[in-house]
Amino acid sequence: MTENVTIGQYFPGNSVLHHLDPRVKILSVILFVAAVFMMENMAESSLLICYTIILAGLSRIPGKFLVRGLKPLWWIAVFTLGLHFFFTEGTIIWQWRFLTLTLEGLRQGIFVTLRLVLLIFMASLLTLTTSPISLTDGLERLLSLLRPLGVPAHEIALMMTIALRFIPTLLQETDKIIKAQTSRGADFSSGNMIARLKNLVPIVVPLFVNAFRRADELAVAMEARCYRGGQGRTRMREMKIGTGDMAALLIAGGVVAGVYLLRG
Amino acid sequence: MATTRQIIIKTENLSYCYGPHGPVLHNVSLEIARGECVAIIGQNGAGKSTLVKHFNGLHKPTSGKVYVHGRETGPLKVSTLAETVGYVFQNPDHQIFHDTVGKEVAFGLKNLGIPAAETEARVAAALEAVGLAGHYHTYPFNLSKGQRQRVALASVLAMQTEVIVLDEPTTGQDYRESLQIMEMVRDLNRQGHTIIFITHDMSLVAGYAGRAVVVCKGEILADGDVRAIFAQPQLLERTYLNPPQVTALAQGLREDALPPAVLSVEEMYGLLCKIRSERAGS
Repeated sequence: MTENVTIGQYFPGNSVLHHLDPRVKILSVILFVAAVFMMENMAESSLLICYTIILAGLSRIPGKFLVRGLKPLWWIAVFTLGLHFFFTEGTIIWQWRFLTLTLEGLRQGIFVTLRLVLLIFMASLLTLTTSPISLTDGLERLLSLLRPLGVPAHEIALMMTIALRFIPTLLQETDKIIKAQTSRGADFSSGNMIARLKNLVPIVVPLFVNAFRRADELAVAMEARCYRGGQGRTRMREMKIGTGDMAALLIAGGVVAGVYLLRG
Repeated sequence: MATTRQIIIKTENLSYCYGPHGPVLHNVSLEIARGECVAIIGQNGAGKSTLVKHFNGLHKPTSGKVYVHGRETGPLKVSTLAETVGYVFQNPDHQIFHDTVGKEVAFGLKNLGIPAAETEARVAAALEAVGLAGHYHTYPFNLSKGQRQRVALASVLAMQTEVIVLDEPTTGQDYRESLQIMEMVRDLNRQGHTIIFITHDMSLVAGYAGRAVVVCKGEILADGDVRAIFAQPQLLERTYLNPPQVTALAQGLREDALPPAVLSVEEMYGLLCKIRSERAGS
């Protein structure tokens, strides 16, 4: 039941996307996010959809895997779609009892959902093609540019590394806790919505207690190995921006520029 | 023991795979009768936990069948099987969530639909049995690991299931606590509960189990009376198990007057005294 979560998972591979500098990938995703929020008409959205599909193809990750990452989004997508369809004021095109569908609602619903899908898809493409270590490494490098402004780059990157490292652990632990509680007669698969939510307490409490305990132990273990923040730390892999990386960044910038120019 | 063996748990050619990496259990056929006290022993990774997780439906066989009380576990929910088979996990921190020890122990009883008055009585009895009688209102997360382990044990004991499965109940306990837990397990067994426990401590097997099942690489290497199992040191060696020191000592002495397996120091002492007095007499 916890095996379907792909957000934050890395899919090892040898594609062009896998070999790009993580900083370039992060910047490109940021540019893409900007473009997605600027997107307003059909031409722009088709450009972004094409761009996404091409990148997905370049990643050589099986489509099955990519789509699975969108699964948790399914409900949210349906919900936003419904909300926008029926609660936006405008020209009424269809009506049934208290439900009124407006042209503006239809348009807005589709665009908002599309934005959501594109964002999640691109974010999962980033984590699928970038190992957690190089991802946080890249992030730390990018953030350290902001250090003069007082951004604790190393600390943020470390927090992310640890969070990513413990996602599988937490999933595994959730599984074990569910097993332990069902062995005591708890039934998680029946009852109505409220009963099911209440049933989560015996799962969530041990999960949190253990997470805090583990955090404490981790901190002690790190200090015991002389960890004292980012001061004077060297790296095993030095990053270099190559021509391919520059090209990728230019393309990403080009897409944003394209979206900007296509605005009506 | 009853003259007619009433089979309570039965596996038939049970095989189980976690993933595509080949079976963890391979064609295991096993019968456990009501009132037995069975120790499951073997190396880490041999498949002991995987095997016992089939007894309450946490695992469903990939092929083969598992029966509890003659009912196949396949279509049954774990929460239904929990009425018959209680399972004490290795790590108590995977289950403790209430803010008092008493409520924690009562959780299983609530799930079974036991009335409040009886719940109170059973919780008190279970806490008494694990030596936590004064801790009804204690915040469980403040207890030591050994104590938390006993809270988990109490929470299963209180359910008074016919079968109780314990996955390494004494890890993390000191010697005295281990003995306390095993004494309690023995009492339950005497009251008619069927006990199945996993352990790496051979002296506990010798001291408390009636029957031992040796699991090795997903198969049952040996199954029988504890004394008969410990009488075959070559067999145990194959799966890196060492019989208790006193058993090894008796075997090492190659004394004809000693039986093939001595299980406790007291037994050894008695036998040696007897041999000495016989020799002095002759």
